[in-house]
Amino acid sequence: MNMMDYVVSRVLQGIPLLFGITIVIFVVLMVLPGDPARLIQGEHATPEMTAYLTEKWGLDQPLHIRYVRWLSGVLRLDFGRSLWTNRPILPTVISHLANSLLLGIPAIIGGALLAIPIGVISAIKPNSKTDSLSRLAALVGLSIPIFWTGLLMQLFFSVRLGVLPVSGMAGTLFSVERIQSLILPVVAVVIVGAAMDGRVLRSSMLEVINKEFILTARAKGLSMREVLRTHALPNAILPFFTMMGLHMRMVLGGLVVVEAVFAWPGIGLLFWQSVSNRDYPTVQACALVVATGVFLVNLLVDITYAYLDPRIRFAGTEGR
Amino acid sequence: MGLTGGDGVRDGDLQESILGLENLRTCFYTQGAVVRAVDGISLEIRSGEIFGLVGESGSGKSVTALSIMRLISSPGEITEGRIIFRGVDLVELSEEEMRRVRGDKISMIFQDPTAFLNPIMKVGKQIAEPLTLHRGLGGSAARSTVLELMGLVGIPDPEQRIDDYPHQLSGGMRQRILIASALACQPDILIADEPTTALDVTIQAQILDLLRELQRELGSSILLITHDLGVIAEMCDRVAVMYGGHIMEVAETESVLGAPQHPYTAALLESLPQLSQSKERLQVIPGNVPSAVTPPPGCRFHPRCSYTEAVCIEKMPSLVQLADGRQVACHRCI
Repeated sequence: MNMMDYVVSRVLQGIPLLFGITIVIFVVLMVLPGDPARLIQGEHATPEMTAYLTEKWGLDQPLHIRYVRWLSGVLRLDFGRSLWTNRPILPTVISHLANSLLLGIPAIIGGALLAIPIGVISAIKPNSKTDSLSRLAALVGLSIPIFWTGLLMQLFFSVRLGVLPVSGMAGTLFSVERIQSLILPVVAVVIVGAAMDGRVLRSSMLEVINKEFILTARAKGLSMREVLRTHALPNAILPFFTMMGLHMRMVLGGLVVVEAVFAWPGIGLLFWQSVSNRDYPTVQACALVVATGVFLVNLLVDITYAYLDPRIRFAGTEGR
Repeated sequence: MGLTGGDGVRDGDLQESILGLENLRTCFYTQGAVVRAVDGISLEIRSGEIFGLVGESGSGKSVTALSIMRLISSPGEITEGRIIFRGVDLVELSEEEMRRVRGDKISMIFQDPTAFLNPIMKVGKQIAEPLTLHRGLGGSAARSTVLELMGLVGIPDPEQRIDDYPHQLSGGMRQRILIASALACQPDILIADEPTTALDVTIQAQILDLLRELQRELGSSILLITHDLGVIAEMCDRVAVMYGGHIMEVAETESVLGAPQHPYTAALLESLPQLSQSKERLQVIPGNVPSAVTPPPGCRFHPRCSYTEAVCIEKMPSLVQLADGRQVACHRCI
């Protein structure tokens, strides 16, 4: 199948999917307990005010009317205004998403760059000292909760040494302050990512190294280093890309815990705050934007896979 | 470079030894046990011949091949003996020096072309690897040599196929790709380890024909490893029969197959199905292949041999040369 046809058909398949998601998002939120009209008034809620807000926000309308009204707004990229801040929702969601990506993408790349040497070295000499050490490190990295490593790092680098900001997103994009405020949260994510990726790469490397074609490559006179670089790694990297996709989905969903610990204004934090505040329109917008993002990431992973693995790319042209 | 420019086999070359194994022993160390997969074998392969190595599964054929390539990996090890190639002992070479031999002077093809090709590398690139490595060919020079090689091994439309991936080719074509890659540097010896076992019968014949043709054109020697006596009869100038890590008999193919001297060879031949006697039950060799961990004392074959005497249990027979030039390891022949 032609690559372009493949992409187009995948995008078309995504339309009913996303439509279904809008229904789920809407219905689930509507049946959740908690009345935003009451909640927003805090302790001094009055029945009159509640009735007024309920009518103003259209919460007294039947569900399907509210859904159609909401969806028609969504299709015009108008998610309405936040019940909490009264600001337009979409710009808020997008800037929070951008902040999450700013934290997540360097973290994913950093984790992968760390994982490749770890995975390869442990696979070349399985059960060696290096392998055992990396296995232990991975276990530690995966077992310690991310908020704990986050807190420890804050305590040490920010409180004790005072070299990095405790939390928050400082400065403008690419400013020194921004980069400094990124370091701790990124490292917290890198630790977990590298541990996971390193283990995945080790096992897929081990599998590939024992494949017969590695023997062919060695029989040609290639050095072990060359064999690893040109034959083993390109084959072993395939499952690795699945991991990258998984991480990316995690970032889109917001690294809620990390964002909360470091007060990083990402989409996870926005999501969490909006849910606590019963800010339905914002929650809906977050959910839909994230779902769309996840869909796009899946598409990207599949395309990358097809690019890297000719057996997928040429499925259907076999035996021509 | 002229790939087809070889002037074939000259009669004078036939007697010249190109590869000699002297008392080669390869062991595998597994959980307290030592598996003596190849247990002190001596062989000589001559320039320009097709030499067959035949035996049952587990007799040590493939380990012999991998030992020659020095590709035995842990927990295996060559523990004893010499592998003399053009006067140089390969066992003594450093890994670095050995790499220059592999794929250039001695190359190898394997049983299952599907598993032995990298699934995500274009076949042209896989053929070109030894050329780049040993001859420094790159870019268009490598490409044109690869096209020439692909034509030589009988791949139709090489231009169309060079950028294909292995899964786009048939099994027979894949084996041709492996052969092209192995012959790229015109090696002195091609080791073919069961090259047709994984292929359809009709394709098997084509691949064997191709190997014989190429051997004539390029003048390489071939060490052909197989369990199939039919293949041996078809292809080989001389043959060694291997059993339990030992060589039982070495001679010209006609004399081994026509008048076997070792009881094992004779039993092996009797166990072949014959079209003329299709109604009869097949002869089987009683018993099982000996354990490589605790081999029987004396002659490896004595528990299954119908001529066993006391000496066979006590003493391992050595390979001795008979008057007609053949070598046999059996007390009856001494």
